[in-house]
Amino acid sequence: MTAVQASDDTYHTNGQHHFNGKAVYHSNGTQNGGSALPAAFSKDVFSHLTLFTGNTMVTGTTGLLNSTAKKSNQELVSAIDHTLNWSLESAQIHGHAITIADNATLGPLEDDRSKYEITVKLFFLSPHGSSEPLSVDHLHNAIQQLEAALSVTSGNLKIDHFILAIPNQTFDENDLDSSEIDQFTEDVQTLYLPIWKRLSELQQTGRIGRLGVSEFSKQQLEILKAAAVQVGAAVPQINQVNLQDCCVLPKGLIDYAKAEGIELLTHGDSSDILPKSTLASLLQPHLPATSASLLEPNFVLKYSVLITSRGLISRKGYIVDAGSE
Amino acid sequence: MGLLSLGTPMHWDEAKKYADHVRTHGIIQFLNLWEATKDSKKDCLLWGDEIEYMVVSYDDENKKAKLSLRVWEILLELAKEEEEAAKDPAKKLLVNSSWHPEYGRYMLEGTPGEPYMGLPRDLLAVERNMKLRRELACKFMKPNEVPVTLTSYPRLGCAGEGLDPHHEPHGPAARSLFVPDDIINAHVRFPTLTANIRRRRGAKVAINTPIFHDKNTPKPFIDPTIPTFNDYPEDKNAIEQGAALPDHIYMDAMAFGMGCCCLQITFQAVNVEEARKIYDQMAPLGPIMLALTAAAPIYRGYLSDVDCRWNVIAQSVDDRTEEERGLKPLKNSKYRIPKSRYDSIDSYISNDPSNKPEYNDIPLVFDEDIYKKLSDNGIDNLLARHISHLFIRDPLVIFHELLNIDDNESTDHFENLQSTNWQTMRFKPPPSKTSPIGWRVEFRSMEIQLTDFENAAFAIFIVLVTRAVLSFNTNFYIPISKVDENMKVAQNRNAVLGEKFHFRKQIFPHGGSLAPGLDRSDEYELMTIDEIINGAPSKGFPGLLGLVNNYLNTLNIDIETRCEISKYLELIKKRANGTLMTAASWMRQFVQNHPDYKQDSVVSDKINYDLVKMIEKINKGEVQVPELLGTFSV
Repeated sequence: MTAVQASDDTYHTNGQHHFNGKAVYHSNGTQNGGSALPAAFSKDVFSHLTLFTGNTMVTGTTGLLNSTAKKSNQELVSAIDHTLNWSLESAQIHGHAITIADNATLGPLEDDRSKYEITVKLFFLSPHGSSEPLSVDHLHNAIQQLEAALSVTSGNLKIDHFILAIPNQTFDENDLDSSEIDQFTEDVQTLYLPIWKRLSELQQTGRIGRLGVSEFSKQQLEILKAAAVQVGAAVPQINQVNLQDCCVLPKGLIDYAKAEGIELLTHGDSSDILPKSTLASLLQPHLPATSASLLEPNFVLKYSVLITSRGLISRKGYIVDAGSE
Repeated sequence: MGLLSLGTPMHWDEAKKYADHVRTHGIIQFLNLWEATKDSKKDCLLWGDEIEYMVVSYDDENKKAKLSLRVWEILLELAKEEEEAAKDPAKKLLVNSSWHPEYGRYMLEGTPGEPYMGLPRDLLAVERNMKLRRELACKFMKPNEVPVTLTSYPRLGCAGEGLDPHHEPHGPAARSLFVPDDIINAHVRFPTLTANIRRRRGAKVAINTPIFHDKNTPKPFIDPTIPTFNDYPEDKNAIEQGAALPDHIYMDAMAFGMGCCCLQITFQAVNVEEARKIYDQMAPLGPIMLALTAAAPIYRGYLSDVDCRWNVIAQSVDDRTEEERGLKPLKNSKYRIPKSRYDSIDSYISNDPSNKPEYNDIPLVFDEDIYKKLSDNGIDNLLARHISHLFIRDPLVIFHELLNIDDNESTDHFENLQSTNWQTMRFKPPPSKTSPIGWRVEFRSMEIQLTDFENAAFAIFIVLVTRAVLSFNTNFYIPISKVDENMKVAQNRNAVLGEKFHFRKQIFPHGGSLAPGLDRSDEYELMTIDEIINGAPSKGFPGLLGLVNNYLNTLNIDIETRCEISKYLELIKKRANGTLMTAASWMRQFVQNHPDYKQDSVVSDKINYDLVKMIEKINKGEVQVPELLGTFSV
């Protein structure tokens, strides 16, 4: 690994790193500054992509975010971009599947597992209006990938807080009308309950600590609870709400959450965290042929590892899964 | 009650003979402590704040706000409360604080009863506890007394009856033309400290703070209120020997400096390496926070041209001889020493690879023998330099009874020197071999604010910055000489808006070395406080608040807590971008708009009285001051 010497770096807040001349960031030997691409991949069409960003806490990605944005996917986009810039050369290929990982900042936790709190938010990204239930296979895959990122033996990872982010879910403070209630009730039964049941099982066997959802209104929480209770599954203990709504959260939601023991935690994630077109434009400079094939993002797993007793963030990253089937 | 050993202190003539004794044993004590605690690991963030108050006694009939010298009585009552609370958990909830004396006989210091912890929710306890302390202190005050958190008392040292009870100036310890010895805390340590500084220095301390020239202020300004006495040789210092400079406010006692109040924050690190890292990372923030918290524009009844207390305190305890100050060739003094023992730090101490040797660009004065002793006993270069630099000073207060102690059990001699080097940061080893308390760092530059809301906001901000620093592994290193340049500029009138400060441009970790042709000076540039705090998006610089917010947005915080914390951060943001005034600017405005003000820089008794009354009203929520506090409720 050579430490290449730098001239002036300028960082732009949209996450694009523009280097004048050679780059200075050291990873595990891959340095890919400027616009040189490995020619080998440009014509390949990969039908499956798994991408592990590095630890966004140390790459500067999280630190440089514009924190005044209401809802954003800036962090994910910057992290993917950074990973494509730095880790493409070390990509693993199996048939038509490519796995790109920023290995330099992944790996086992430094201290005992008991010192940490691991939070996962799994964004399901089926196309809008899909009538397929959220895939339990994706869930298993996502957890396995996280275990790989943290060098944990398969089946051994305990996740303290697990947030399920269903596609295109945005908090609506207005009450649902009766047809919307019916639609949501049906969606819960057909689309979300299977995965929710699986998550409950994982909670029962101790693989997951607390379960939660994101951007649910009070009515939606009630509907989910009713459906869950009916099949003996867990009830949500967390509901994420957007930070910028803090002064306008409906009292009904606040009271309901208090009564039910649901913690209202803040978040700032876009409801559609990785549109197909965004992924395509990120891939374009590096994997142009694959980009043109418009891979469908299946899920994005966002994770953070905290040392709560000292108020520190040890790791933060994303795992992206996309395919063309 | 703080570092208050009981006993008979030595006069300087005797103490100076034992200086080497204290130093030698201090180092042995440090080495013993190091052996026992160097691997100590504390898994919890624990931290605390220290708030200093002045107790004011109103004479409403004559419209005077005097300083009450009755604080020792108040402290006795508070000590009783603390004792009862220690035995009774229910009482503990109501008291939950710890009280200490300070230099001024009118000063109180309060700390939380238990340290705060590291969760965002714990930060909400800070303002509550600060308010609890203020209420508790008030409980034992007379109806005409009130505690105020003012950094410098505007009319300290003015002629006329400004103290309650009244005492005439001029006493054997301070020999001040302006303040009596009775202004000094009665515990024997404090007058001894005062007198020994004077004796060691060979003259009274000389504090000269530039006066603010207003329309009717004479130019040159020669202070007509400097009295003459003929009791002590030092009485000639001021006028005859020229210690009092024209166009300056002259002060001649430790009380003018150490009688100021400030806001100090101490936090525990997981281990000694983390403590050293935080010490270094927070050091460049010292001048930034000083400018942001500026609250001391008035001294001895005059508007000054500075907004902060720092240089005043530095001069007020400057025990350096003329030789040490470079005014005479070295003959009896061992070293030429550039700074007072109260001033900004002189070196970085972390072994983190990002701490490049070039950043320690101030030639360090240190005791070579002590360095060697430390080094021979396994102390690494940077830490050995740090300690042997602290130990160039003489111990000023030595108690006969505590001269010979067990170096295996006590750290008294080490603490003697450690606690009389007063700097922007303090690196604190565990108090003893067996203490549950670990390695700590103290952030010391901030001025105390007028309300608990503001004090809580700044305390919380600092703690969050330390969390962000460690979480992002930031790099704030700039040459330490540039930090010193920042310190000078930070104290200027309205520095928060009018000055620029050296700050590192690229604060996220980058491997590799600098390109050839570049040197360290390309790593930093001049930025405004607004840019440093709120960021410069076009330069890709997130600002300290940007870092803190990005840190907070990664944690699991409930919405109520997040909203509360956001309020505190809003205050910081608005002070940094000029939407809200600093306390110093607001006090200036108050004086200059006062009907009695004659545009001659003079802050009269009436103006002072009205100012203190206003501050009291603000604290009680009886009056809104939007230019200072916006729509925040205190």
